[in-house]
Amino acid sequence: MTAWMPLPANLHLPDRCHRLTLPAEARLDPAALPAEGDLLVVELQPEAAPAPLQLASGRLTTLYPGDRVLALTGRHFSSLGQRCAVARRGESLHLLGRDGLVGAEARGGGLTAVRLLGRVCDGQGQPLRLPELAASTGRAPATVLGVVSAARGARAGTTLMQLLRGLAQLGLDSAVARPLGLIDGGERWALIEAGAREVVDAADVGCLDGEHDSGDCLRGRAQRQLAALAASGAPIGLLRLAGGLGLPALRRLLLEPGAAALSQGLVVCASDALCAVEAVRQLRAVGHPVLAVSGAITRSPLARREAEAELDLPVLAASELAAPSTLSILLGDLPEWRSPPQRLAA
Amino acid sequence: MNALGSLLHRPEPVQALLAGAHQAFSTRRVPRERLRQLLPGPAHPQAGDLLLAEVTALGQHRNVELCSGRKAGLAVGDRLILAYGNRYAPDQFEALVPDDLGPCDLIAGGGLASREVARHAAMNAPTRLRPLGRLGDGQGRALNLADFALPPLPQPPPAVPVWVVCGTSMNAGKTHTAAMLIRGLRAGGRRVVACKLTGTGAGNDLWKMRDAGAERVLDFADAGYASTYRVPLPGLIAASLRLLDHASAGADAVVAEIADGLGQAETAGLLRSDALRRRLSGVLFAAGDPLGAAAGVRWLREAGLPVRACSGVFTAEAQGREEAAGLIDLPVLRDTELAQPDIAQRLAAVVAR
Repeated sequence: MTAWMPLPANLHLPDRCHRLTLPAEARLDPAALPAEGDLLVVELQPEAAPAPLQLASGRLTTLYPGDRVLALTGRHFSSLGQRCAVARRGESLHLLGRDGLVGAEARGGGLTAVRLLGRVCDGQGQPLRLPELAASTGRAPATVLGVVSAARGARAGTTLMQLLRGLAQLGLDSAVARPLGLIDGGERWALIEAGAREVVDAADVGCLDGEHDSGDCLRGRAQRQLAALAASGAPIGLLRLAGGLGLPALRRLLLEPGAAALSQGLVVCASDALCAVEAVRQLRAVGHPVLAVSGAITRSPLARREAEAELDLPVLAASELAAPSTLSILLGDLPEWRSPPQRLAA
Repeated sequence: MNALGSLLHRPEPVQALLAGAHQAFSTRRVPRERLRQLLPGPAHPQAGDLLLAEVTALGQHRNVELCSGRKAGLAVGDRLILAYGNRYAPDQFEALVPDDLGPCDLIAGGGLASREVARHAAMNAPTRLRPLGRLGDGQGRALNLADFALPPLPQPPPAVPVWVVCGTSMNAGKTHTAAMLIRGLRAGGRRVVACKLTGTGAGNDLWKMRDAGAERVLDFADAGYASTYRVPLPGLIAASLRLLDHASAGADAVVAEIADGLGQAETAGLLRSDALRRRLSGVLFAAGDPLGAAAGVRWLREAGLPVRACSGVFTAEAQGREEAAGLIDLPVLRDTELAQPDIAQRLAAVVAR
């Protein structure tokens, strides 16, 4: 017989749960063994240092020992080197970052020690899950552009943000999907403020970790995300392809035959010329149209010149890339935008 | 020049002005007593020319490295003995030797005077200088670092293994890779001499290699250059071979670093030269990220160079090493592995393709 407990009254809901409406009858099973995708209630350990948490409401709060948080558990691997396994009873558990993700065997920066209070279940006693995007067969937005990190630290996030702003200046609605990895609460809000009509990440398609998934599986999830972007009404979908092209999962997603169908064009972000040239070479080898190079490389006039000497592509700072005049040209090169060009001029 | 002009521009004895002036690391081969006259100009400075300059505004570089390696804090009004030189530093500045003796910039902490052309977004404006004049000898002839270069050896020294370290770009971990390799070779009982074949005159990298156990350290300044940006390739190759000759004398192994990335003209030209290739035992490639490592290995192989391993900043993380191992059919070595006593055997055992 399960000894159900009510949810704590002062429970913090992290941004990770922003699509979740907690049912009034939700309760806690303190004896359950957590499984991938479960929502858990955890409490900061007495020795935990104060830790930030991005709330579902958008506010950034600070957690202190004894505070309780609704957290998602699963096997997770981030492009920044954070990783964890599914939370296990009796083991040392940590919150990762400030986004409400909890796991065992946690590694990386920004870890906060917590203890497990129980698994959250609905009124029927079934484990409560985050709502997933529908298994849609809908179409992707009319135009899909990708922003690819050739390497970590290439400032692809900045480029994406600027692209969003540039598109907004042109009066074009856009939305963002991250097929691999998670978009933390702070970044989600920043994307929304930059003009994204919708922001979805891997957790929205039931995946915390694409580390061991096949390329087909990853692309299938990306298509699901793109359908959600289209359903939001955005004519332009932007794919955030983070982690660096050394990341095996990103390579499977982007560098297998057929991967070029994901988007109409890619912007490659790199931190040096050699990396930029190699990324462009590998992406083109499987048919991806590469539109431009951007990212950290453009902070260095010399590195930029090195890349320009090797590539038949514009190498543009994020602000240049997002300038309406440049965006008009880039989008004008896409088949979807060639007719009628007045659409951009407007 | 009219009579007044001759009067204005006549050489001046320099001792009073030199008193208290900081002599920068880039000019370390120049005995101070050889600096006899100040040649105020007009003049068309050449790379390597020595000058006396006054700091007029502090910017990015707030220290100048002295010949001893100590970094002396700067203040407006300080006088510096420097060398003119071009600078190519993707993470800092691009700068060219000016056409005149007008105001210019302290463009490297090792003591390079030049005029900024471009800078990385993370850089502040450079420290500003007012050249007081070029420095000349007793005959009024402008002195240049080339006047103090190591002479060619009368006969080539016996061949010793030469390991070259090059990389994806500035700050890819080349010097750290070289230093840790030096530690490993030293731990294996070898007498190591280190050199830096290209780059900008500064002590940081040389001191790191010296601290790692290199018995001697040399760089292009020892071959007469303040920096190697825009040095014509034949001269650069000749200087590099001369440095390798001097480094090989009395050594069991030489570790030579080549600056910047493979997209830099002098770096690429030197690495593609037959003369250098014939001297190498192997190349270690230091990369900033796994994809760059894969690109570098491919580039080096296409250039016919015996690349034996990858290292660099990306190897600091397990994730980076794992990713690179999936992209490269060569050992991916972190710094602690390079420092092992058997590193020479491990590298020699890698079949160069």
